[in-house]
Amino acid sequence: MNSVSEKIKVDRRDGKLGMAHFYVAFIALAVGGMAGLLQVLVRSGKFQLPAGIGYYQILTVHGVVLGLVLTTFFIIGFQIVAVSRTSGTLTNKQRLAGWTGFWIMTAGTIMAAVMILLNEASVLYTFYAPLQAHALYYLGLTLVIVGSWVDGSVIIMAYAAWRKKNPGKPSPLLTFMSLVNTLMWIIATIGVASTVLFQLLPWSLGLVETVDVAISRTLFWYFGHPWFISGCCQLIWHGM
Amino acid sequence: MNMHIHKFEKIWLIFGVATLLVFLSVVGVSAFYLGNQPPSCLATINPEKVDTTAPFDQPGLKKVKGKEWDYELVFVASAFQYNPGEVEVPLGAKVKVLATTKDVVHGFSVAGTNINMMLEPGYISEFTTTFDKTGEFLILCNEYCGAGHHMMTSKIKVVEK
Repeated sequence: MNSVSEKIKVDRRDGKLGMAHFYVAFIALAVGGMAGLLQVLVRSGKFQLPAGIGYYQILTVHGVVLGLVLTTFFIIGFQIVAVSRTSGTLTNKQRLAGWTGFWIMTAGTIMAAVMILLNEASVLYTFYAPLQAHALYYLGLTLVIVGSWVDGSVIIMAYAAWRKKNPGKPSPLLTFMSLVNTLMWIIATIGVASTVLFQLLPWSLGLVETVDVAISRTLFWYFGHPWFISGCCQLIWHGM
Repeated sequence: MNMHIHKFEKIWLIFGVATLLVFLSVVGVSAFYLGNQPPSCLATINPEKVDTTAPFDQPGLKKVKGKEWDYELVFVASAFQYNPGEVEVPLGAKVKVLATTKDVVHGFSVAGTNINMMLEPGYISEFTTTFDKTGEFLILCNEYCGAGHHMMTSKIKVVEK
């Protein structure tokens, strides 16, 4: 079919979409690493943060940008490029879905970041309800998740299109793995999306008075554990 | 469709499924046959009425009779302290530790022992143990609870009596 040189190429427009995700991911890595360094300096007792910034505030920054933002943006960018390379250039509709997902995730990241910087969300990235953050923090992280679903639909659409075009053939391995990883991600995020939408958001907006902590923790870690496993899977197939 | 699975893949899949079954069985036997349970297991309390609900209306050490343990040690956690802030326990005493929280999630980890519980609002955590070493044992909050989290401590002194 394709010659080797053609195969290695990724369409410029798809590459741009992938790179956009990587830019956010690596900015997150820089910010998160810096926050980690500041934490060490604060804990050494020889250094104080300026402008009344708290230790747990930068700890929250560290967790959110490294745990959630870096991992999610990186893997989605990686998968989009991997699928474009192994199953062919994305259609305009798929690429538009990719950009839509990217901007929803980025908007959510900025919302959550602003709330953390205003010290309205020093609850760490695993939430620790009933410690309460500003509603915009929860909403921002919800947008990161929802954006990742929109982004994930690109992978699913591209896989479905390839299947239709190549009946009976085994799909390209990287595309198939991206699909499986996307499905695992969607199943895992149902937990965190439910606790945020049905418990934390209504509660932070004052619509309900209390949160059942046992349920919210269970739902969060229903997400947390497979999310770590999915992180390990990424490592395995990065080795490919 | 002709589904062909490579021999190594088959071995790998069987190994994976068998591992899963073994570990799930271990958890099942531990819970239902040996009766092990997490420190917080179905015992609930109204978190707003902790101060007026027994036994949490009287935090501290209490001698009890006719139970499998000699003493009950009651702790109430709140941001950012434990009540009592320090307590003496006689050496060799079999003690049931009962703890809960009035506000957010707190930890209850006794350094140098195997006592490590999570305290969640609305739930009572319990752990029965024998203090068979004298000395001071630091209780630490190991679940993030807010700005003063790292200052939240208490102390158990095990003394010869």
